[in-house]
Amino acid sequence: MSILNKIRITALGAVGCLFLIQCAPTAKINPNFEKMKPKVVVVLPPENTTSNTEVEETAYPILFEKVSNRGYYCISPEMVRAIFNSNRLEDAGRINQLPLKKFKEIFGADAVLRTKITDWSSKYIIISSTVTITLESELMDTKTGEELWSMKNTVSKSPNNSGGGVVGGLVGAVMNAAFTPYEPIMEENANTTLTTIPQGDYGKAK
Amino acid sequence: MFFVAVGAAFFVGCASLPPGWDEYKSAMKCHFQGKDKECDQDYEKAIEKNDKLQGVHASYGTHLLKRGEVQPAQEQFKKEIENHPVSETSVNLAFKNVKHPDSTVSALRKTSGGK
Repeated sequence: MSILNKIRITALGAVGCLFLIQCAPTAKINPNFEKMKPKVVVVLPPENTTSNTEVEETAYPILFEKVSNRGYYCISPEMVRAIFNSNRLEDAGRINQLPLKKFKEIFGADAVLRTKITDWSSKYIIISSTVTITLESELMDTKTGEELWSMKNTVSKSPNNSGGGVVGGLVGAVMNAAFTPYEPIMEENANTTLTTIPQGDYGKAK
Repeated sequence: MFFVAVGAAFFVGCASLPPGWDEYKSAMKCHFQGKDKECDQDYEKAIEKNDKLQGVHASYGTHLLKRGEVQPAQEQFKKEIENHPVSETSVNLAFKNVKHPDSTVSALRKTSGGK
């Protein structure tokens, strides 16, 4: 390999690294997080701005589990949903607009996790399919109304397409797009996103 | 070094959940799917594996209360409060609301523009 080629490869590698660093999602953490550290968190049902109906069913248990295992006591989704439903508040968009202080007064919560899913889709281009999930999240303090943490993250994955030439690839892409479960991609997104919330003090994961 | 880093990342990514979480998540999903009776099995398995799992008794209690099983629901709520005293406010609220719908309605609605 000539010296020129080596320089080219190194330069490409450096550009690639810079690209990845630039694109890596970053979390915004309130500088006073440690002082304001919540103990009890209400994880609200995710607001779904997509046309896919399976979003809440798949995403809500995952969001709840991730935050619970970061060292916070999270009020169970079944209970949160029952309380809102019994009060005829079923739309996550409307629930997200409730004043934060009410969550302190009524639920005894120190913080509220609001999430919005803005992309939950499968796209296929010629012979490959890509599944994308975009998650926007913010953890809000119920006492002061301040944002404690927030992050927006998109995960796109291309399931492995099997061989079989162009026709096989095309069929494979369509099958993958149709049957790829969103759950592992949501797991990955929530894992990347919610593990950037500073570790809580509510014991070890129980 | 590269393979060690990849291996470490793999194991971190695959870190398993504490016992009972898989069953608890399965119970949560079960509610969305409207399989009411089948959810009981998942809750019971989750509790058997980890009785102290946060929220599991509260969730199961809410589930039972919605079906009108007040006494067993109260027992579950009591266990949640014993295991996690911080849950007391929300557990009491759930008990009051599911038994008497709309009991929080004025408090919540006044603040959402009276809609």
